[in-house]
Amino acid sequence: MIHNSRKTEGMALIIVLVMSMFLLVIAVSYIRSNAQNRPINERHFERAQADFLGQGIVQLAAMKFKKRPAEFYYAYRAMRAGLGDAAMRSYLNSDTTLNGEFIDQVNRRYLYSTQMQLITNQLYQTDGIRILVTVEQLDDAGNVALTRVQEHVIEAVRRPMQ
Amino acid sequence: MRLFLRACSRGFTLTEIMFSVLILAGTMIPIAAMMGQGFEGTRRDQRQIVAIQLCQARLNQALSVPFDALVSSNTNIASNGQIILPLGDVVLENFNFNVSLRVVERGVSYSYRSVDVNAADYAVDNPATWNFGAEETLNIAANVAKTATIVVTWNERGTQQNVEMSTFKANLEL
Repeated sequence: MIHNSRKTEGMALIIVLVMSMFLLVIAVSYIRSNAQNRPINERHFERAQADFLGQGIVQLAAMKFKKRPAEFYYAYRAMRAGLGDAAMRSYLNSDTTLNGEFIDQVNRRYLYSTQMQLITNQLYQTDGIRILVTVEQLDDAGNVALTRVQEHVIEAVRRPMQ
Repeated sequence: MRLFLRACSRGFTLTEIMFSVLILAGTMIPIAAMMGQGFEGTRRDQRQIVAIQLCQARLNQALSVPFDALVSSNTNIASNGQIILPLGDVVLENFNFNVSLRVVERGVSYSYRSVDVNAADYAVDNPATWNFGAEETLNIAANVAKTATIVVTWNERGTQQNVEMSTFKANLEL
């Protein structure tokens, strides 16, 4: 009898310690889940910012096509005819308005680049200019953390040559 | 002796209970404090998400505002008596936000290479006859594009927080 009562002495301490550990684990997991919320918010912001940036560059690309359509057609057709892509690179890759860098309010860097393609539909006698803007958000180390692409097609009516 | 044995087998001692209560209290107080902080953090994140969504919604609306009407403002932008871009104070999820629009004019610089259409052997349907010139740049300095930024601000325990999102708007009417 004495032996049994001695055995149970200190049980309360053990039970309380186990309960405390259990509560501690719950608290730590709760705090961890909260700590993960902030990067999700930031990713949401970065994705939205990249999309808006892409939409803006699409507008600037559309305006370029509006201002200089013939130069695009010449460059594109020369490239497709296998005569080199120097003119196309001048039209797209060298352009400092359509390719560049944007820095947001907290100094996050976004790189954007633009591609344009001619989409021809022989059946319906229509042309379209597909504008593709790729926005890459860089992390602190300069690696690409996020890539978003905006696509827009400008419809064009084919006019017979005079 | 019998009394002592009965006392031992009856349950927990007062010392045990006191120690237990002390340990529980020592554990629960920091946990409760951490829980409180976590709850406040969740509320803070929720406000930030609402601010980001508000920023997105207003910037989407700003993109459909006519080029000339897109100007820096802290108050609603209207056209023909209708509000096309609501700005100013907004209450969302029982919290006050302020929305403003910042617009900065920007120029554009477009590079391209022209084809010499006056060349003797030029044929419009034969790319092999096209002579591309040197790279040129078309610079348009004003009234051609704008950088539009929506700024959402709110107060967080006396500190002003803000979210800014930007886009470009081109004057496609030119």
